Amino acid sequence: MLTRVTIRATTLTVSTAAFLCLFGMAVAVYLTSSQVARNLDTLLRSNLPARAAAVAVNNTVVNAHMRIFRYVSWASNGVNATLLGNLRQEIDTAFASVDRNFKALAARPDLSDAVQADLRALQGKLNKYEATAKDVLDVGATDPAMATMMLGQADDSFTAVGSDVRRVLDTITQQSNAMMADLAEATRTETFSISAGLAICIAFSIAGTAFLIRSIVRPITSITQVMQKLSTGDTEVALNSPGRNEIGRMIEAIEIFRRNALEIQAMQASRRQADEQRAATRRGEMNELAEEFEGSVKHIAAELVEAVTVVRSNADVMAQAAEHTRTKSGTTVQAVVNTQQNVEIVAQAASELSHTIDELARRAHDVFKITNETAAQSESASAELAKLTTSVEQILPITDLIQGIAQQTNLLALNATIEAARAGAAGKGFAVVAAEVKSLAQQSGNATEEIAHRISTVRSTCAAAVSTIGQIIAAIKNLSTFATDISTGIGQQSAATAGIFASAQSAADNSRAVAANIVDLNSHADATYAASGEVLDAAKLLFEHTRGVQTNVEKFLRHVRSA
Amino acid sequence: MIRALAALGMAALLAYACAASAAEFGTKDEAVAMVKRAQAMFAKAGADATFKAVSDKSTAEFHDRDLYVFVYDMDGVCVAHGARPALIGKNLYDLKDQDGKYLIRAMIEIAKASGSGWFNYKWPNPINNKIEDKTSYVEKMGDYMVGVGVYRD
Repeated sequence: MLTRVTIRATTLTVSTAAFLCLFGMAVAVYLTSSQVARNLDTLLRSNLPARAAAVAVNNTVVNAHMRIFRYVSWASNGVNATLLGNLRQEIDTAFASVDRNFKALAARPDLSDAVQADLRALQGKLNKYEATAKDVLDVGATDPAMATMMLGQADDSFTAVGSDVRRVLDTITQQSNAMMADLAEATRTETFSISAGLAICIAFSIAGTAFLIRSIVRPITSITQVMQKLSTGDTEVALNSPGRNEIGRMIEAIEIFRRNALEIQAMQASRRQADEQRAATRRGEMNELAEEFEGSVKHIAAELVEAVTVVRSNADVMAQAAEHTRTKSGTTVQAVVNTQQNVEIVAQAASELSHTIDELARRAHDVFKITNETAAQSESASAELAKLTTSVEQILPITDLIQGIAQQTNLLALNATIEAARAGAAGKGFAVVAAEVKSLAQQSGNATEEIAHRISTVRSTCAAAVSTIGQIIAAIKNLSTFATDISTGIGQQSAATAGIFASAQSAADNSRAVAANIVDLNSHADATYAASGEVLDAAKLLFEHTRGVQTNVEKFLRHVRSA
Repeated sequence: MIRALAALGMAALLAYACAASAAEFGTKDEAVAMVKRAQAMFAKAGADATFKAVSDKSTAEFHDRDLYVFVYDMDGVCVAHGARPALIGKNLYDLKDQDGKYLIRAMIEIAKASGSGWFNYKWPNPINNKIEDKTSYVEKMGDYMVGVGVYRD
């Protein structure tokens, strides 16, 4: 029967059943949850606030009661009337708040009948308590001892109020508890219905899965196994009772595959036979070819190995030579570098020497120039001296003239003296003047002589100076000749130094070139060494390959023969 | 020697105190007599005059040392009091003494049941305001209960 239902219908049925289960469960959960929510709401909005209001009544009563005790105590101990009055006011306020709280509690709209009955009883007790308390206070104002007596009465009333408040609280608590119990019950119901729903869902899903496995997975698994076997070429498989659903049609298709596979197997068998025959023929031919090939190749391979061995030993020798060359050229390079350094030091020294000599030449030239200038100045000094001598000599006739004038003046003075002596007393004054003139003429003659003497001294000094200058000029001329000689010598030396410098430069260039060549040689030696190493490696490789070729040829031949 | 002297002194003090007390406190007989006086006035002058006289401390007839008159109605409301005027008008039906006795209630019951009788309780002494043991004699007086008590010891 199952085989006639299509897979689509099957899966649709199973999933619909699962959905219905879940939906049912959701409805159940919604209903119970909303009941729980309602109960919680009532508890929260009504019972808890009512309880709080009852507690507030109780608290205010306790508050008033404590003050009553305090009042009596104060009154008994003679506290003044003002303080007692204030306390009385406080107590009145406390009672006012008791009334207010009680009214707030009684006015709650959601109180149950039981609570309302309790509240009526409490109202009576409260009234009585307030009356008693007021009596105590009234008496206490004038008669504290009596008020003390009456406290017991007030206490009884207070206790009665307390027990009524407790009863109200108990009733409310009982109601709350009942609601809580309802809540707990509802929660339990919910838990049960959810669990039951889940159990049914799980059962449904297990049943559905089992059904699906039975009607779909199991046939598909067996089909898969059959197809795997078919794919490995095993055609000895059978699928029974094909139904009319998708799987039935699949089984029919597989049967067609199976038949096709059987046909293919038959064709393959005949082809394999033909192949085997062809292979046997080819093996015979191959054997022959191998014999031939072995004959030729084995000989060649042996020769090749021999040749390679020779190459290898040569390469070894070559590598050693190259190594040697390399070492030597390295040493040479070092020597050449040293030489080059020395030559460069010489060149540098020559260059410095050249500079020094140039400086020397410049100085010698300066000396030469100064010497010439000095000679010229000395000659002009000599000329000036000659002119001085001439000028001095021109002074001499003038002194002679002055000398003559002095002598004549002296004669005249003498004459005048004589004439005065002749005149007698009249000429006495005149004789004094004549004596004075005579003395002046003598002084002039003396001075003139002095001048003549000085001039002759100047003349002789000038002559000596001229002669000295002449000697200086001769010496300077000598010096000039020496300077010229030095200049010439220095010029020659400079030329020689330049020659040395050029030679050193050239030697440095040459040695550099040699060094470069040797470095080049060294790199070639390196390259040769590397190349010889490579040749050696290649020879080794060649040797191994040759060996390999030999082995492979032997293997190949074995293989061909055994094939 | 000193101890003997001290003992002698104490004995003398005690004797003096006893002698004094005999004069200071009223006796049971005097209490009964005062109740009777109140009854007579109640019968002759009526309730209001009697209550006024009883509550007025200057009335010597109803005030003798620690003796005074008290009157309650049958609901326990104090209507007249010789020592404590503050109590007048207050309902003391539920009043308890230090032993827990509902004393007003009990005395009303005695008056109602047997017309008269004695009752022991604790009450503040008007002389020193100390709460002391008291024995009161009560009688029914019309719709009221009237009583006078003595302080024992």
